[in-house]
Amino acid sequence: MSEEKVDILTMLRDHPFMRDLPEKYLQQIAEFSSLVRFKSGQKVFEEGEVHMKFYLIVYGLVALYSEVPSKGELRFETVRGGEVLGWSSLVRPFTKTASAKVIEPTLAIAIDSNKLLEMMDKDRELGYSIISRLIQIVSGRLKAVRFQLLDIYASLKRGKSESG
Amino acid sequence: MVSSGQAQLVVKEETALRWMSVSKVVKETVDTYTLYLKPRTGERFSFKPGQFNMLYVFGVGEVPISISGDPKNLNHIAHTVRAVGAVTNSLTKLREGARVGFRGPFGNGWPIDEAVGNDVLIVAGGIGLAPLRPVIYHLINNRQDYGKVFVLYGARTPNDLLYKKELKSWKGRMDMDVLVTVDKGDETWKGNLGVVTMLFDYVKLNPDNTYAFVCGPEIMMRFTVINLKNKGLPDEKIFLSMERNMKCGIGVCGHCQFGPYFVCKDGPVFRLNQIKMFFGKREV
Repeated sequence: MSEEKVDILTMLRDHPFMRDLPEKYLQQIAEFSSLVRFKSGQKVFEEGEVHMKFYLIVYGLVALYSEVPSKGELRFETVRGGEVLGWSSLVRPFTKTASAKVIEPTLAIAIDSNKLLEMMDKDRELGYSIISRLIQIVSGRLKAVRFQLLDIYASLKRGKSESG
Repeated sequence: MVSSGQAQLVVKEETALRWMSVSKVVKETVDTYTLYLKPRTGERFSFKPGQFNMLYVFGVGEVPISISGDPKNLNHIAHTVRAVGAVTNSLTKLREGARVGFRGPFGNGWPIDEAVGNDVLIVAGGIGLAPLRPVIYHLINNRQDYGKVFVLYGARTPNDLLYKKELKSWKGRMDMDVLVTVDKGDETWKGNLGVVTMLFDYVKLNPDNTYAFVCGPEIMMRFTVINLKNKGLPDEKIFLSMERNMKCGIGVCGHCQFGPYFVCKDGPVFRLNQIKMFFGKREV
């Protein structure tokens, strides 16, 4: 195993998304993963594109956004160290649901999603484990979006009370 | 007090209408201003973090406004006001030298003495940072008396954040963790995006040793309480500042009744186990 692969394996072991995944899987995943460094302002992927990489963020900060005509980038979520980016590369139809741009210099493990999907297909135990972790991520984001839709900070304006 | 058959009316200092002059106005956001009020020469004023005053604009009306300044700076009493109705609109139009009537301070305030020796987690949403700012000042002024201090603050957009200069200076301190997030950001925003409860993922709380002080719109506090419970904090250590339509400030008129309590007199800060029966219920 190359020096970079050893580093990747160590980071995979430490990353919360991979917590408690058996070592044999981590070693196989490390084989088709690479380390990527992003600079501030760099675009990682764009909404609507098929980008078959699944990123485990080691450190840094990445914003998810949609391009809104006449308003520009509308940023609605950030992911940072210990979190994941690009879950849609593991779920059909694999198109990105948002664009991603780096806010702070970021180090990530880029996993080849095609190879991971292949591995998940062959080994259903691994497939179940990865999918259940993804569901947690997606449900967390769904909750956050629902919370944002409630526009909670504006509720005072609609209330009867004038107190502050 | 009764003496020789004559009843004597005793007016408590905080219930009597007094006047202060506006010494400074700071525009915080497009519709929110902080008014600094100067007591008249020789007049004393002190308050506990979390208390509020009833501010009165002549000919318009009176509203309860939390005191949002440093409890040690009693020469300029800060009130952060968002223009949402007739009185608050008038208050935000006042400028230096204008006179404001006030009664107060009212309410119980945050349990800063009880929290001594413990970690303190402050969770604020929107204008909810205003009644918590005096707590942050108090914690900074008495830093050695407390354990770790966490401040989690969420607002709608970067333009809706209050006290931007102070947030920057608090973030720079090594002795407290300050995390700020906004629901929606533009290209210039370099911080966290998402709801305030998302910030719980980034702090390590010790549930046995942490007091949580929460203020913001009720729905935000409801979600915050769920997160605090998930982190293992007991009800007795979770404090919420409730908002109701307060009028008299002394628990007489009943406008701010909340279950068996009057928010103005028994609150506005409540321990979660006092109010959990009514919290999040309609028409309570």
